[in-house]
Amino acid sequence: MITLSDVSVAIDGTPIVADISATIPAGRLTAIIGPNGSGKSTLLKALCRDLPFSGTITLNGHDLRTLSPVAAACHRAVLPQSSTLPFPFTVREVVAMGLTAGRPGPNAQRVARLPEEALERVDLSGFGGRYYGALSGGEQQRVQLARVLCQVWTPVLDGLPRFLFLDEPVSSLDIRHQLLIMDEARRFADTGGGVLVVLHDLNLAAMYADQILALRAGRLVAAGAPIAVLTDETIQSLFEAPLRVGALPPAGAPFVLPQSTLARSTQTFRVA
Amino acid sequence: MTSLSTSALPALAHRAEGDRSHLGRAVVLGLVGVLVLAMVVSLTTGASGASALALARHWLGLTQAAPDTLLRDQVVILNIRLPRMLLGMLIGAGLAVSGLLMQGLFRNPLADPGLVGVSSGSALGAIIIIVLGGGLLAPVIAPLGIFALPLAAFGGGVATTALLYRVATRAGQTAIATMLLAGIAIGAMAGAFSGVLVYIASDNQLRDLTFWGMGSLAGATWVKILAAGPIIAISLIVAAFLGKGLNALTLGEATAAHLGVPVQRFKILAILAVAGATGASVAVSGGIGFVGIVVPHLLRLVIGPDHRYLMPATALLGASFLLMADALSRVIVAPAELPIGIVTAAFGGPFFLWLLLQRRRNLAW
Repeated sequence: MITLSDVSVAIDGTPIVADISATIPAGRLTAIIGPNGSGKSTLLKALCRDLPFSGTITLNGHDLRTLSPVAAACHRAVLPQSSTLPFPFTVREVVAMGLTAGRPGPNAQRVARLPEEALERVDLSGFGGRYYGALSGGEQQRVQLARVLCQVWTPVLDGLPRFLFLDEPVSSLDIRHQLLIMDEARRFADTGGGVLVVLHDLNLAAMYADQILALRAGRLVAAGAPIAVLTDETIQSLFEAPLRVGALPPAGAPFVLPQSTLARSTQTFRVA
Repeated sequence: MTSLSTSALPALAHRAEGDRSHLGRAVVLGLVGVLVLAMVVSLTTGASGASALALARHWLGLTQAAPDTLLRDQVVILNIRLPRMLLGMLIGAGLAVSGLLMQGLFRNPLADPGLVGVSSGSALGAIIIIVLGGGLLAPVIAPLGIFALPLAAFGGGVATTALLYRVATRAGQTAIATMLLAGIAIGAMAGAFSGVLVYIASDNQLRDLTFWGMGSLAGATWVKILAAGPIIAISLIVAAFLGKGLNALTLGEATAAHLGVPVQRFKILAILAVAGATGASVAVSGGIGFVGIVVPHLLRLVIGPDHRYLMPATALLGASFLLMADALSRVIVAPAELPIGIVTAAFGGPFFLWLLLQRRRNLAW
């Protein structure tokens, strides 16, 4: 479990994130939503220790500040928004970098297969020998996810849950691979790990999240299950945009549709 | 799916696609052989007809040689060629590994201590000792003895590498243009200071400086090995432990930290290793250029960029490359010899240009 109490982050003296207290439990998928500049990525960076913060964050009971880099790497893996490589590594070599901190748990034979298993999970079997630099942006993003999955190869280790931090993991992917990646994150949470994901797509958040944290101007304005957070009132004020929430027929999951006065009506589409 | 052979021969069957570690290991082994060959060439090449083979035969009691030839051969080989060979190996490995470390640290295949001013900084440190060591700085330097020169060059290397990193790297990303331009500026500054020192140097010091600056192994002595060897050797040992972390660092500093690399400590170790290997090499041999860019690049073409294999391979090939270049420099205008810096530059300059052309074509990286 990850707990945040009164977490604030300032960059060059400007407060970006202020007084956030929240819990990110294991076995759950937590989504952070909010408009551009609301501090989503900044909050994630503080959780990754990329930025100094005030307040307290604990990761599986350990104070995040005093955790060694290797211990932190055993507890959580981070998927960045994008990664470029200056050297011609193969896909497999990139995925195997997930094992940098060592390989707690599996036996040697299993370790040798971890990169292939991870590639299979992101639908890139057979890509191991390709050069990373020659792949499309979407493929590179999936290779990075495979690297991250290789690092936290099992959602629970020695009785402690491990965490996946995903920073806009699907923004460069087509719809099939968006679902594929989110399915993988969902599976990680369902098997005991914790997932924290920054999402722009509210409908993916509605579909996959157990818990949504809504940020606006660096403050936590709403937190809870999708059905509680995704209401007309909340998201309209959150994004300052004309949005409408509906419910999908079978399960009643909420979905969000943009409404614009300039949108073309159905009349426009009709062939004369 | 799971065929019989995979379960029966797991070790062989699981050579996964894109896994080049077997190639890396094979090339490292092969390069050990190449280095042994280069060592033999180095011991047996030279203006005098001294034969290492004859000496070895005599020591083993196989032949009786004329005593005066034998004495001459013994002197030539033990006091001239053997220290020269050892120094060449240390410097070749040191310069090549420095290049590889800088390329990994700056996430940039064009980084090289000679190109971005680290060698100039080291040279300034050395020139200060050569010119001022006898007079102004004598009280400080005297207790350091033979180590004064390599330590001063090491200091110059640390200062320039740290300054370069500070200027050219922001949030873990190095802009290629900024790095090369900052390197030119730093090199020019070091050059200006060096120029002032050369201006006030005496005639004898000038002669020393000129030949030293061209880069040569000709003055190799056991004393020089004792002075520079330990610093280079420690730097190489430190570098040997940095391979895995350098791989992670190619993903960027933030990601390397997420993967468990203690990034700040790691960078300081890498910078000290670069400065140690470059500084000590420059102190005893002057400017030998392009080793740090030619050797890692050739190996990257063969075994890929995995630093765990690239590091030992670079050290081995760097040592072999410099021994070969040195042998060539002794033969090409025999009985005189060319400064080795001229040989490496004649080979490395065109190679570097070719590299730039390749990069222009190959947009993949």
